[in-house]
Amino acid sequence: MDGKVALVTGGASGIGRGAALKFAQEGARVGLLDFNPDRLEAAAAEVDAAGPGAMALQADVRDPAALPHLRIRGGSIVITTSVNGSRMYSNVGASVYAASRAARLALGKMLALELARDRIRVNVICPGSVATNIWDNTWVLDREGRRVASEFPVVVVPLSGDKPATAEQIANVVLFLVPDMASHVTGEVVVIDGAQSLLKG
Amino acid sequence: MLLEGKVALITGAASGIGRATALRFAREGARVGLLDFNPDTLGEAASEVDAAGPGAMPLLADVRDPAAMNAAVEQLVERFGRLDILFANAGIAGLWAPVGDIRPDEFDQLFSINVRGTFLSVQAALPALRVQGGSIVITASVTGNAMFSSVGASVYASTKAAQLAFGKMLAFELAHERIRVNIVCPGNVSTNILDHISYRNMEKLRYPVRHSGDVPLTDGAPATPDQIASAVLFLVSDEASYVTGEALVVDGAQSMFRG
Repeated sequence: MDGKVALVTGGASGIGRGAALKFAQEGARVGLLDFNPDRLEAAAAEVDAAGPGAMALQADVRDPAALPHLRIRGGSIVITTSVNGSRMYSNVGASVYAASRAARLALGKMLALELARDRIRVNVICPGSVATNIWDNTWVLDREGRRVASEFPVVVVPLSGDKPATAEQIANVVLFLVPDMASHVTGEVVVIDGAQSLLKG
Repeated sequence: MLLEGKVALITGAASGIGRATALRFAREGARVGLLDFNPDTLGEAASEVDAAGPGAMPLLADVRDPAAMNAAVEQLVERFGRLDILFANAGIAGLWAPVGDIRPDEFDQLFSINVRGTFLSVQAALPALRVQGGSIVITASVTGNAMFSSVGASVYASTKAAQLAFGKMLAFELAHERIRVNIVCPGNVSTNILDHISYRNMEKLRYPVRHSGDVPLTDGAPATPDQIASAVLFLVSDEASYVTGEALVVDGAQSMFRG
C-alpha cells in the first residue's frame, strides 16, 4: 500500500484498529476516525509508529462523510457488515442490528456497480464472532424470555474450536480487498467466520 | 375461502400491491383494516374492499408514528375483535441519484418509511397477533436482495435488504409464539410507486446496457399487483402453515436475467 492514503471509521478499536495497523505496516498513511477521543489518540499513536503517518480524526459518522475525496483518482471501499442479517438469523433480539447489517451489504453491492466507472471498487466483509469490545456497547434486554429452546452444538466456530476471530484475522482480509491484489474484485461479499454460519443458521 | 374468520391489517393499502391484496383477502373471507396516509385514495379503497367481503375499515395513519400505529391497531381490534394477519407493505421508492448527491435527510426519509415503518407496524400488531398466533408478510424487493443493477437506487435497495433481514430475524424470534413471518420480493409491478420516484443527476450514472424485455416470463411486461397479492395470500393462509422465514421472489425470472 505504498503511497496510498486510507480512512478507517471505527478506527480506535477492534477490527478498525487492526486494519489501520495493517495498512500502516504495508506503507499507507492512515486517518483513524472515531467518536471516542481517548481510545482514538492511543490507536493513532500506535498506527503512526508502525508506518509512514497516521492522523486522529474525531467525528461522528452520522455527519456527512468522506466519499467525494475518493472520486479524484479511483480507490477502494470496504464495508464491515456481519453474518447476522446475511447468513445467520438466529441471534434472537438482534433484529434491528441484523436489519442494519443487511442494509450495509446491499449498499455495498449497489455502490460496486454505481462507482465501477469511477474506478472505485466496493467490497463487503461479514465477520462472525470476533474478539472486540462490541459487546461492551450492546444492551441486552429481556433476552432470555425471548430465547428459543434449541440446543446448538457446543463448538460454535468449527475452524477454531470455539475461539472467536482476532481483529487481525479480519484485518488480513480487508488488506487483501483494499490494494491492487484485489484489483478486479468488486461487489463481493467475503464471509470470515470459521464456518460458524454453516453450523448455526 | 382461505381466510374465513380472519382479520388482517394491511399498510400502504390505498394503492398498488396493498390495495390488490386487501381485495383478495376480502374475497377470501377476511375482514381487513386498510392503513394508509393518503385520505383521498384510502376511503375509495376501503369502500371497494368492504363491498367485496365481510368488512373493511379505513385507518388513516403514518407508519412512522408509533402512537398513530398503536391507535390504528386498537381501533381495528375493537371493531373486528382480533388480529391474525399483518401485511407490512407501505413503502416508497424515494430519491434515485448518485450516492454522492443524496442528502442525509433524503436517506433518513427512505429508512423512516420503509424500515422504521415496518418495525413500528410489527410492534403495533404484535400484542394482538400473540393472542392466537398469526402471520406477518413484509414487502421487500428483488432490488437489494437478488438484483443490484438499478443504479441510483442504493438507499432504496438498502432499506429493502434491511426489511428482509428483519423479517428473517423475526421468523425465528416469534416462531415459538406461532407467528409466521415471511417476505415477498416483487420485481417490476405495475403500481404507481415509480410515479413517485424523484430522480437527480441520473445522467451521470447511465451504463451502456439495455435490459429490454428483461422479464423473461412476460417479454418485459411487469406483474400486475394482483399477481403479487396471490403470493401474499398464499403466505398468510394456512396453505403455508409450515412456511416461515422465507423470502419469496415474484419477478418472472427478472433477477435471473439481470443481476
